[in-house]
Amino acid sequence: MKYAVSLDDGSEREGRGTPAEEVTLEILSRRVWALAQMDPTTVADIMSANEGIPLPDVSAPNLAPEQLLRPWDSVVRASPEPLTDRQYKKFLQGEDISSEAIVESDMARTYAANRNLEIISGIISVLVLAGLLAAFLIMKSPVSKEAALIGGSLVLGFTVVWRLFQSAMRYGVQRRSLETVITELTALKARAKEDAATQRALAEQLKSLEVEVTRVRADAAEARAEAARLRARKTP
Amino acid sequence: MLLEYAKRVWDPSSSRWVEIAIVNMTPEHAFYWDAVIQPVIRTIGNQERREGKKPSRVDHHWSWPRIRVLLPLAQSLIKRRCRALTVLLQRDLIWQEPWEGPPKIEDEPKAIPAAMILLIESYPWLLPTARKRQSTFTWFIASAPKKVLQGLGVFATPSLGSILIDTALITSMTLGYRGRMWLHADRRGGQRLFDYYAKKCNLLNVSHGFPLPSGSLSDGRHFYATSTIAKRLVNGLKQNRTL
Repeated sequence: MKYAVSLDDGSEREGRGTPAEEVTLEILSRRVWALAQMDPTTVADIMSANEGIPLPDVSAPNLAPEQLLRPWDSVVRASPEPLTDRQYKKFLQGEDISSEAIVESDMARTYAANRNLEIISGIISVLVLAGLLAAFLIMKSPVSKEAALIGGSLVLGFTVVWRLFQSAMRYGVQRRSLETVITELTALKARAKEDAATQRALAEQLKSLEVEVTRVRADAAEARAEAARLRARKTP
Repeated sequence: MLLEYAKRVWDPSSSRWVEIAIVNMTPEHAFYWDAVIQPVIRTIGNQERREGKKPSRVDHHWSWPRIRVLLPLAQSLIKRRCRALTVLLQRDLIWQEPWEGPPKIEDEPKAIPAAMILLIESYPWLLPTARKRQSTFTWFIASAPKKVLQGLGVFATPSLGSILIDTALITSMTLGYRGRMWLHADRRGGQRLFDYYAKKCNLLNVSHGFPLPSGSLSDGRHFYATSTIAKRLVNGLKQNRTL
């Protein structure tokens, strides 16, 4: 939602302040800068007492309060994780970041999981190489060729199992994140559809009101004509 | 441990868990609060004034659109991030026109803002022994009066104060500050607000004249949670994090 910021002249302390004039960006940024310089307790004092430096007013949209409410089913809970820089910029601009915050944090988690998997995979590869080297050395030694064979088979078996596990994990994690993205997109699509439906309903309502007004106007004109006729008949 | 904000609250009056949703605060939430809830808060305060009392609520003059829009913007100028969150409750009933009969159950329940919170994510820690450490500063918190919510059609209206403090602690923990959090109890809140933070929220209090990170001295109304206290408080609401 876009909002406009204007200067509160301070003449109306009770209720919402009346914007006295649209302020220039310069004045506005000076006020905001002044707020930034104060410690939080002082800012809270200013907000609570509604006195001190005149604060810019944030004007409300031309919507009935009821229209500002979202359906409970479309609510997306916030994650305690910090927002990304891009998300925070959007938050400052007043945009709803709930859905994409979830998607992005899921993607970040997937990325982290994949990275961990890569690291573990690297360690395992080194271990496999070390195992093979040990097997080679044992084979060379006269002690036991059988032990070397068992060792080598174990290492190979472990590598195969590990690779299978790795692929399964990758498939699982990616699928989960894809599912989240799809769910979120469906919700967003549903919301857009719903908004369009509301708009259509309002337009229809408006149209029917217009028809009604035309009808009433015609009736009124007829009544006026009838009254004029009656008046004319009465006058000798 | 995966940290999450609370998802439900126990309501002693109806003896049941009530589902809540803590979401990132949108300007719509702030505008709704300003248009529907704030006027009632002002009316309560004006009524108290007429009765010769001081307004009991410190948020009498607050404007959440200003708090939500201007303060994070101002803090971003000094490279600090704010976190604004709204606690939503589900509206169960919808009021009809008087001639249409009693309130009916809503077909598509709406989410009603029931409490608001603005935090500064990273702020110097209150205690001088570890000033270099960061903490979360709880800047503004407000709960809607129960009567307003009931008037709007919200059937169960549990107390959300402890949830707001828990939200600040969880944020601090997630940011890696181990639950270090502090706040200032507005002096307009009087002894009632002081006791609320000290006794109900179990936060610690610094004495009058205690040096603050900003260089000024405390008026004796600053409260804080150390990592130990935060852990205890957060664990106390473990059941609230599942649905």
